[in-house]
Amino acid sequence: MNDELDRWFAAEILPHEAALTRYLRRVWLKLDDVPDLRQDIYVRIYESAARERPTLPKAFLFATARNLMADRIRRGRIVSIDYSQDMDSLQALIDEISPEQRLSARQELWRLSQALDGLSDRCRDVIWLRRVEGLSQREAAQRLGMPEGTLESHLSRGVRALARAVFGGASPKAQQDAKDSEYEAEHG
Amino acid sequence: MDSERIEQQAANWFARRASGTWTDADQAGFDAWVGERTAHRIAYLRLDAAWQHAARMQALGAGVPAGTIPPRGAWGSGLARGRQPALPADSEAARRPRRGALMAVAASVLLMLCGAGLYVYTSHPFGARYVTAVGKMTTVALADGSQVTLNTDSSIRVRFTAGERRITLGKGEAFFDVAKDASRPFIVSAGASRVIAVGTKFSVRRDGTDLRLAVSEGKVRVEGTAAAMRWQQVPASHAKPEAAAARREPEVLVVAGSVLRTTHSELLLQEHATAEVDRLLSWRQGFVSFKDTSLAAAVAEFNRYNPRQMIIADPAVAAIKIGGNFRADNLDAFLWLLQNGFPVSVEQHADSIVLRAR
Repeated sequence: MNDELDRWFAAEILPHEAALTRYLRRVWLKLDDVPDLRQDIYVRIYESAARERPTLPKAFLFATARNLMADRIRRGRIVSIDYSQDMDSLQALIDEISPEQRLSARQELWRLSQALDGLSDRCRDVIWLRRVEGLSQREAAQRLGMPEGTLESHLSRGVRALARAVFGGASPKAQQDAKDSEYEAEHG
Repeated sequence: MDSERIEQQAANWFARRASGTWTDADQAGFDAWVGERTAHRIAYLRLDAAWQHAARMQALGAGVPAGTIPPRGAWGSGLARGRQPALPADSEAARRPRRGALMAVAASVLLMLCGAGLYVYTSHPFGARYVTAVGKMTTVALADGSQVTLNTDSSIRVRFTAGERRITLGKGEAFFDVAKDASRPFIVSAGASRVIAVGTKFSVRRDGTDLRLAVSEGKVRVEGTAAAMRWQQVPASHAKPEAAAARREPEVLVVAGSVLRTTHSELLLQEHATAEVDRLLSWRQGFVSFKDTSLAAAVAEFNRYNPRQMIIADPAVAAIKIGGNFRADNLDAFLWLLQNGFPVSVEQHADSIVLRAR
């Protein structure tokens, strides 16, 4: 995967995945649709960028998202009244998205550590030995006394979790802004 | 889901490729799969890029002897500074049921998950109190593993003892996902009524003395202090008080898929109403949901969520029926729809919005 377009996509589009997902979840009624919507948006971006790279990748990403949703609404794949509001607010809502900050190295490490700790025991062992210690599959399998096929399926599960941590943003709880909340003691 | 399946395939290819036993046949199969659809290629490159990023985890291994896999959470407090509460409410430890005399105190301490806009008053013999502001919603993890989601402008008090789990709904609406504990019933009091659960999911809304209960899982028992509550049972979709003969019962059992409404003198139970239960619970996703609802009722619903209150100036406007789902915090979209889809004019003032016929 050394294609220059792939690298461009990974560097300019994927880092906005968390913001994109938030946006989609906000305007699209059926939350179950969001992963498929995101996939279709990525495909459009990729195929369009193969012809010509957009100068402002993030703006292009959100414009594509908006157009794709508008297309779906127009094609009437979904009940219209629930979405008529969103047609009108698609534009406005984009402006509400906070500019995505690049994660600091420390934040990214924190997210990764959380993702690692969220894995099942065996899966976590596999990811640790393969990614942190850099063991080969055979070495890791010997260390863990695990068939290589089993190890492979743990790796498959683990890499998906890592991708969610790296691109998908933190859990909703971690996004809660602690400073908005207040805490005080009641007397009596 | 298409994307879910593709990501799974991509992850399998990724693991296969990293296995060290990659054959020419594998390569040919992989090339064919990647070439088949752009979505395949993107799913793969996304995982591959994540794996590259994850090399950063090698920093976690600094100081760890080779061959040792450190336990969970062994990453030092500095790493997480300012990012998470020390004990996330959904962690295993927080969910584990706890019993004992210090229940109220434990509740107060563990309940310190502060969602945006949640006000927590805590630590006294009467238990912890949680309040949400207008337009806010939050989920609180309780000490017994149960979870409470508070809707806009709501308050509850939580008091756990060895014998019972007691929640008092002061005002507003809350959804309860109750952890099973047969020895300690989970009791929600709202005014004169009590909703008693062992392990179940349900939502209670209180408007003054009126109560609305929607049960999405398991069953609950409702008791009123009045010796006899009048109640009527009606088939789904014919939920009219006059539709059935009244009976006297001191308590009512409400099963999943049912909605119970009580006023000071009447009680209406609607069974086999799963769609209605779903609609009544849509607030947890931030939506208000209307189905053949009068604009008067819809406006009252929106007004729960927004400090700027809508006022209906004409009876003709109040009687308009509407349907659909709206984001509770997106009043502008609702007003836009009213203006464009209905004979309604919208006058915006600083702290109110007046709806008139046009």
